[in-house]
Amino acid sequence: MILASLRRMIAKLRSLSHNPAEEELAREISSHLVLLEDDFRMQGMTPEEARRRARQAIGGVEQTKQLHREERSILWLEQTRQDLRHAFRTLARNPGFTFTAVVTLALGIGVNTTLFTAYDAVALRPLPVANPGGVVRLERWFESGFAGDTQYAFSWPEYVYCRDHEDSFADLVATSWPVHVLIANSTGGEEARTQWKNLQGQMVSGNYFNAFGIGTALGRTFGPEEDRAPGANPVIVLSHASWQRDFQGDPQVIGKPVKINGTDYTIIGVAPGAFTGTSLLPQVPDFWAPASMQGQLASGQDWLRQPTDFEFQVLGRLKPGVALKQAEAETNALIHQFSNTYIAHDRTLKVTLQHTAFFGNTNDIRFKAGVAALMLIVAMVLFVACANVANMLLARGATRQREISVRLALGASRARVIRQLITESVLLSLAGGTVGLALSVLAARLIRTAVTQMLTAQLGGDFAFSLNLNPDARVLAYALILSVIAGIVFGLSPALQFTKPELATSLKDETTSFGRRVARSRFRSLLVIGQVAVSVLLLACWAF
Amino acid sequence: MPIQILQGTLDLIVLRTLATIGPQHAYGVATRLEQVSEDLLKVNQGTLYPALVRLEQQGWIKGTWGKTESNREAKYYAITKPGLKALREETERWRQMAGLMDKVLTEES
Repeated sequence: MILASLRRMIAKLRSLSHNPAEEELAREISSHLVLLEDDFRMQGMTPEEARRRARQAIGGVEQTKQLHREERSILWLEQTRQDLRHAFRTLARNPGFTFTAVVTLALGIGVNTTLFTAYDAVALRPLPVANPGGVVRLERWFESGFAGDTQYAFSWPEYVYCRDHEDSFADLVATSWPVHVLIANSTGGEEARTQWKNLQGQMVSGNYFNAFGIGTALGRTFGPEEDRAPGANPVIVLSHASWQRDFQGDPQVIGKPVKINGTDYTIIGVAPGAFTGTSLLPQVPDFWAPASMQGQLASGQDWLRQPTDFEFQVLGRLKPGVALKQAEAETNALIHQFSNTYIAHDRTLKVTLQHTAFFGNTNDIRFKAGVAALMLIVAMVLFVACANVANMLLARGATRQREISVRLALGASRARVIRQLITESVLLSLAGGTVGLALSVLAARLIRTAVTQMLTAQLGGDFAFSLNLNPDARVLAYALILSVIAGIVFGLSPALQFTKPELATSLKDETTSFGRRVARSRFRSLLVIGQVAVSVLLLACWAF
Repeated sequence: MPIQILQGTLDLIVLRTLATIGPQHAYGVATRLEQVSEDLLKVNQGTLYPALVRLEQQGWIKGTWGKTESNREAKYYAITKPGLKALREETERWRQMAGLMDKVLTEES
């Protein structure tokens, strides 16, 4: 039985795509008619009489064909296909209207998609590491209620204590905030002094690259033991961006000596281009060094021994099968034990584990409120666009009304006509959405350039922006869903208006439409009022 | 008085007919139905088509073009192996259903 219905489903689907079945059916029915006619003639009827009776016996040729079609294929898909074809023709017949509507919608959807792209890059995209789902970031909550980046900061002794006592993580890594250094080719002698460059790097625990499953484009990464003996491991891994920019992508760069803040280092590897770092800042580090080199990279300080120097972010990869809550409880207990012993001032009340996105804790209420406000504003832009298009559809109503009245008079159900009109408006908004998506890709590039320049001016030096603003599946889905919703929103009200039952009378007498015209103009002025209100609001927001 | 075909029984009727008289075209099936029912069952011949397409899509019958005795072309439907199996199952189901209906109706009267 299941097999039979599966076969049937396949046959139905096939009959949608191409249609030899239709010719076959015509042939079969005409042969059926011929046989009937033969028999009727044998009974002594005239050829005309036989023809008529044959058609009667079969119950109408067109009706039979329709019965066959309905049984053969999937009705609603077939109808959607008809609707789409009709919608394409209607839109192509009115290029001016179509163009204006598509551009209007493209702007509305484009703005929304751009914002979502940024939100996606900041809050939804996981870190660029292997299996990011299991990676968490430690966040601490201070007794004083202090909030901000410091909540993600831990001291090296805290990290070491956790690392050596925990049982929930496959790996626990630490990574410092970027430190700014001067770097030069150490073989250059006096001449190289003119080539000192200002770069920024991160100090990381030795297991950093291995824990995140990051390979290299060239060379090797750190071993887990390279963060133990202070000053003993003068090696660095370059980021791909820095390798390209500061070392001209030199394939011979591995093993080269460089001077950083007066100490000689060796370049041992180049990270792959896709690895843009795990920092909270949208900046790709220029290089990574083992934490054991802290004394040389940030001289005059003793981060490795001071339990109150909160300089490192701590990230962990959960062991398979360990629940987040379980790991959180353990980490919490460990930090408590440690801080009870060593930290007197502003104690940490608790430690939580955050699933990692670029922007630390996106559950933060301030972050959420900010995003919601922005979303609301751009949603209004889309609303204005929808209102405009709805208005245009209404204005076009006079010409559509006759067509719709005829369809209703010929027996199309109201729901069927509404469905057809909605199909048309969704098609329109999908076109708008496609253009809008293209616009938002361009806008994201612009934003990237602008932000890069802004941050370069602020942070100085060469700056590689780590946020990935290319649209991913989430952004595509967002644009798609937004388009469909917009299409329904601006299409529904005109569709309902056009198909109002009393409109059918407009076929008989168009002069009776006076009362309706008044009602419609009221709806339109409501739209205009709404638009003006929203525009003023947007202007006001902009002024801030 | 002609009786209406009970919803859902046309497929079974067509299968049974094809199993009995061998490959037949739509008109042939319709004629046969009228004969067997002694004109009690009047089908609008067009209504056979949905049943035929349904059965063919399920793979229970198969249509091929052939010639009639009067040398006209016609599409002949033949029951397939899965069709025969389905016929047995559906017949069994129908018998149970009919028996049940009979019992219910007898008790009620």
